[in-house]
Amino acid sequence: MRITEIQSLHADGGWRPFSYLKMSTDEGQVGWAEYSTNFGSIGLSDTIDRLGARLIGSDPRQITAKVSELLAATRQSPGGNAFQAIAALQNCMFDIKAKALEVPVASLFGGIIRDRIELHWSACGANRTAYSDLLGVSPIRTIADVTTCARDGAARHFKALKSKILVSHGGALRQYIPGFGSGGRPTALNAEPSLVREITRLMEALRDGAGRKVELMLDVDCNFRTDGLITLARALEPLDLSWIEVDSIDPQALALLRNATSVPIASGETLYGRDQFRPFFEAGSLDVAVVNVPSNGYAEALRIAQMAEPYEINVVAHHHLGNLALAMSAQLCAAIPNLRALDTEVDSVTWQDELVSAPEIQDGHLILADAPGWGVEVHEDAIRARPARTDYETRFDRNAAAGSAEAVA
Amino acid sequence: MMRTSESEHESFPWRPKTMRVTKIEELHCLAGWRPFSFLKVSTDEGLVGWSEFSMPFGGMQLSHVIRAMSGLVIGEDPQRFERTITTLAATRVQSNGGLVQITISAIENALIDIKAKALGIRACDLFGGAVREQVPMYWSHCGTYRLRNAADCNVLPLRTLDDIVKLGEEVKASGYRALKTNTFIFKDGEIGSYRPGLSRVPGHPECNIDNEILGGMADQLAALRQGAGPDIGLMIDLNLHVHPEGLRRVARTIAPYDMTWLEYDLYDPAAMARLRHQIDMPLASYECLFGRRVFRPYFEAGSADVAIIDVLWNGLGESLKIAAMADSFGVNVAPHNYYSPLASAISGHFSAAVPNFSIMETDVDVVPWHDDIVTPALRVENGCFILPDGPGWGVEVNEEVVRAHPVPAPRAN
Repeated sequence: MRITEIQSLHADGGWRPFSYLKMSTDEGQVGWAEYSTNFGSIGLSDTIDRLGARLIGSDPRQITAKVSELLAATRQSPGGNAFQAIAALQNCMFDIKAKALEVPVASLFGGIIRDRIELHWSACGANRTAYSDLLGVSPIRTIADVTTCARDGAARHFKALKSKILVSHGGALRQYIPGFGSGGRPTALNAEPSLVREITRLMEALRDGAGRKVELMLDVDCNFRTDGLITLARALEPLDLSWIEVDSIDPQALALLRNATSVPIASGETLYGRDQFRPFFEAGSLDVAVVNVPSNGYAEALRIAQMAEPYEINVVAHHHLGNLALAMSAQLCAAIPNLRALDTEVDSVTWQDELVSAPEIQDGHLILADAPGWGVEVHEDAIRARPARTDYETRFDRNAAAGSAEAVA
Repeated sequence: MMRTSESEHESFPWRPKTMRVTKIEELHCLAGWRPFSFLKVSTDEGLVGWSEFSMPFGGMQLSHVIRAMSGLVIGEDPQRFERTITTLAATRVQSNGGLVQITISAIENALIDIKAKALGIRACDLFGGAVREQVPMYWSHCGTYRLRNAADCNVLPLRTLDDIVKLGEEVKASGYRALKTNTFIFKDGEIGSYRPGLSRVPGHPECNIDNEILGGMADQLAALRQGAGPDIGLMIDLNLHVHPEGLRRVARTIAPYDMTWLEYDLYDPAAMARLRHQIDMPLASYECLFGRRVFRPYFEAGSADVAIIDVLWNGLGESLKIAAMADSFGVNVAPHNYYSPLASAISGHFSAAVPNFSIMETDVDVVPWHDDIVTPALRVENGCFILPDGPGWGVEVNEEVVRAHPVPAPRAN
């Protein structure tokens, strides 16, 4: 079996594209992977094209060898787009390899540990502040709406609800994401007392709706410096959060935060490979490791989870893309003993299931698909019929809250 | 909740029905001076998986542990072996390592053989495929077996330094890239094996180094280097026969012979790291360690240049996890392999599958019927192990040959 063609397709995902990689072979077997050009990974499709060209004519089932070659070719540019491109290519190869053997991807290596995977509702309600029409759900405008959303999450038996930071802006709640450069100018990422109070009220509102049994987490991404994180964490301690999720490239700073608060700390969705996780494991920076299957590649995500185990750390598979990425993440979750949860955004654009078939969800659990490869159907015609827009960046920026008074345009 | 086998069959109709382990058996043989021990796992599909749990003190001693664990393995699906061994490990976590781990690993390896056979692929293909199809090897226990076991191996005994020079020439002609030897002692016109760390011989239990031992080591390595020439790698394995005090003096003594590595075992990551920095050659270690949790502090301390992993005692699955960790710490791996050809096949699949590979160990001086233990016979070309093509390990244990060389029952006293 030889790889004959590699091609990216981009579909409209509402406020961002859904990006798919299609790998074809001379035996008719086709492998798919979902990836993101929206994860700081500008130009990733071009990188995939360039690196993918090296795989034409290769056996897609000899994955370790090909990944090693591609890593060597990009060694001087570690992490970032090169690593994410290798991840997407590798994920296509795993789909092909598993389909050729007529087994789920999770059946490779050590096999399936569980076929019923606990779900956490990630970014709970966050996209309802700006895109409720695209999602086909009621908008979230007020703190009362947040409580209602949390009550709904509990009723749907999600094990946990993880919130982004939502702040009042222009009379309605908006996502607070200055760390991603919203509002046109990045802020200094200070944790103003008023902001800390507002976040505390937000989490209380979630707790009111969710009740005591549902776990609550706060995802602050990269929107604060270390001192702000400590202030915020300490303010939230009475709320019994399961964790605060932080993206940080500094293991020592994260360890400092972890040592300064009783709230557990989760991190890792923007880390690439064992090499980037290792300093965090060694420094004792994490209670929970968040691993991104689309941006690491299935085998690398597996090796990261296996490396977390001797540090007694469990793993959350992070998902914020479409149904294919959800299925890919679910396969990892099926295969590792040290699973914490599958983190998924639950809400998606109303046409999501037309593009890729929906995984089965029952009582807040994803049921691993009874099918080879990733276990979902990719509807190529539907993807081509809904091409990605060209104006996502302006839409994205307009819908976020400004970082603080200083950043108001 | 896990599904029952019936519902799994209904849910996955495109592949053969779920397999179940039906029987676990042990076979042992005496290969000259040492026993080889094999695990044979049978299934309701008719597929059989093999593994090996040879121990220097006798794998037969694991029988009771194997029988006790079998109850948790019979009825399990080999295609989900990680779930099985995770449960086994949990039931015995308070007694982890040692014989418990060796047994779990033997079970893992046999299940891997079955799973790969069920899929019709090589064992290494279950884990991402082969990075190399030819695995460079070194001649291990070079000369060591010719001290006391020459007759078992149909080779001439080693009696003089000149014999050692000739042995070096033999290695050079053999195609093997390197040789690894052990500490010889030269006394009363005879050459003996110095192993006070492993048995009750002169020097035990103190394991003190002395100038006579060091002088003998220098002569031994000089002779090997003379015969082998400059291009063959030289290694020496000190196991636990010296303390760090002695190891530093060993390193100084053998430095002139351009050593590929000095091998040593020590249950102290910080002390080993210190030695690694102090000596003037690569340090290889870890053959006695079980599992990622035990390897972790050694990797973090940077204790050795090369990580030696016993794939029988750790299991191929766990060994690859350890190797992936080692890769992140910038360390290459070498399998600990001095058993039957089945072990070489298992170690060979490990060596084929890891990007961060050093070199594979193999014994060359073996009993005449050694190669017949597996079918088909392993292929070695130009000092390289050639990965078999067949599914699973690519070899089966030849039960007739094993049964033809039984381990005698222990004597009453």
